[in-house]
Amino acid sequence: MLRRWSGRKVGAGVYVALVLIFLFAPLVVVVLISFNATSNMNLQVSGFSFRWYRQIAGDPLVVAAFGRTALAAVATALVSGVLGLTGALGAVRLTPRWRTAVFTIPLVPLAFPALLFAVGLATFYHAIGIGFSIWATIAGHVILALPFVFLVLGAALERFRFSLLDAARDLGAGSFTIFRTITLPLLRPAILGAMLLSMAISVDEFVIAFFTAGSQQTLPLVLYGRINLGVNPGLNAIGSVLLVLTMALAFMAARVSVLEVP
Amino acid sequence: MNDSPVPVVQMDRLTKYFGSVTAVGNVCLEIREGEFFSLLGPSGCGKSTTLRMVAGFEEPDRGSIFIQGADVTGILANKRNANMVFQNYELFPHMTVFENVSYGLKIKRVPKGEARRRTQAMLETVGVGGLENRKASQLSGGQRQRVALARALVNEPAVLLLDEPLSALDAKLRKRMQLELKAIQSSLGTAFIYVTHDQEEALLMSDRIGIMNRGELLQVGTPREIYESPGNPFVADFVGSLNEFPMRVDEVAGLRAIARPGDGQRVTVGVATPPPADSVLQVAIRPERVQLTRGTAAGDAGTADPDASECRVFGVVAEVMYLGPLTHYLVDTPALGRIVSQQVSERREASFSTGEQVVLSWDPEATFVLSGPAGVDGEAL
Repeated sequence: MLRRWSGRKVGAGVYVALVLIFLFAPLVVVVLISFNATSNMNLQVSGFSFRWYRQIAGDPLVVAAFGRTALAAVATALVSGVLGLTGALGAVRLTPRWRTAVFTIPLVPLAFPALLFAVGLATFYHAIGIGFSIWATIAGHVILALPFVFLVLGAALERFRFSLLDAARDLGAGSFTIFRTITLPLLRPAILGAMLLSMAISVDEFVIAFFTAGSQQTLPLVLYGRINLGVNPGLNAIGSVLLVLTMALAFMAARVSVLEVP
Repeated sequence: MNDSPVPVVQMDRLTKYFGSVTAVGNVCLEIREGEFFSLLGPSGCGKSTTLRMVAGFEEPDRGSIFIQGADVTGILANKRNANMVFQNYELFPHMTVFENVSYGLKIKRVPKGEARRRTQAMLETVGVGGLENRKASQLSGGQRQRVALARALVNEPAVLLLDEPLSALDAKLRKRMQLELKAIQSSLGTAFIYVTHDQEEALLMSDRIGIMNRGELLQVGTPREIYESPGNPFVADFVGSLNEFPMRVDEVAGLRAIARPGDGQRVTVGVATPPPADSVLQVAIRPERVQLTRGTAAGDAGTADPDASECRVFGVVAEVMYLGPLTHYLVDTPALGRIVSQQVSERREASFSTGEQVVLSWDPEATFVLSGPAGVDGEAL
């Protein structure tokens, strides 16, 4: 009995290890090669160096793209955070039927093929006379991030004790004071988590940026453009920067949401 | 013109509908300065809704509310001179005990030094001095209860509203908090409106009690008035317990209705107006007013009774329920069915035992007539 159980355990361990290798091996390879001393693209790493990072840091196009990616991430987080919070707070006051509708509609873009959505967005911008720029991309990223913000805040509001707001009102607080001293502090972990998630979504988003950014390219677009010009470990350095950024944001989002203990 | 002081809270024909249901109907009530007033009733009777209307969380559909003589109907909860202790306390989880209790003072821009002094003093008053820096999640149930009380009382409201504040505590702690709450109320002199479904709690703590059922305020009175002179069958049944039985009137002697079920038995009941003979009354008596003595139908039937109106009913003890200080005897009587008698527990040898034959009796003044022919009601009904 014991032996069979441990046999199962080993099996499970091997299975998990395989999944993890499948998930992370490509990423590990990308990062490893970015530190290669030569322009060799295979796994025969000849030495450790920051050569490729120095190269991209000195590339004005990459630096400008990095700046735009950061701008897009922060702007997406702020706009989707504010829209998501006000929307979710409004939606929980609705009757159950309308509440379901309001929480479901923002999920529709998720079910949409990204390419069609991006083409549609670009066509729409063109039709109403809005030029392609990083701001057009940011608007697209907000649409993409909003459902996640809604999901995170909706879940937090499910557990929110609205009677606490009654208690604050009973003690003399007006609506704005209640929002500032009770609602916002209690929802802060969820709001922060949702905003970090929005940033992570924006940082590595490619399709919408491709169709709407015009000449104001983001980091993923520059990476794609460079691949067409030929491959070298400098691309891996750009990729590694994106990877670390996205993972750090996603990790922080998870941490903040998990730490949600009043 | 009117010498009587302005009531702290005045409810005038207060009415609230939830859909087609009348949650509160035409409640008129005055709460006096410094009194401990309980709203007592089963769940869904409208007592909490009434309290929430006084607090300002529900708007009445009709009627008005006055606090210290000022009409507050339609005024938001944060602008009313009333504070509430919620059933689940509703302490702010992201704040310390000190921050929770001083919240109201901070909103009212009370100077920091004074706010600190008043907060500390109130925490001492309710018995949680020294816990200022704890978070709400680090408190026990009883401590939360006290902090919630301090958070409301520190604002020195005209009236404190309490919505079943002790229902989440275990029995022992609840008993202790009942006494402490009453002591705090007397020492501060603040009027309390206390909502509860626990009749013992209401009897123990209140200066006056209002009994509610189905949105209606049935009776208002002191605990003794409510218990001893219930105004209607619902009140009689809800506060305390009752033995109920029908009786056919065989004889009327003054304000006594007497039934003679045979074997020399007599059922004697006090009435407000003499009922016609042969009418049927629905009668009730509280278990603690039913006396038991040893004796049998056969043995006692022959002995002449000097007072012919004295109550004598024969029965057999069917069950003995020992509750510590009290014992309940469930007695099966051929005349009246099962009657419960509550006695102070005696030594085992002096107690009655199952199967023993007993004689039941009571003071006719202790009975209630719940229903009978028109015009025949018990003295208090």
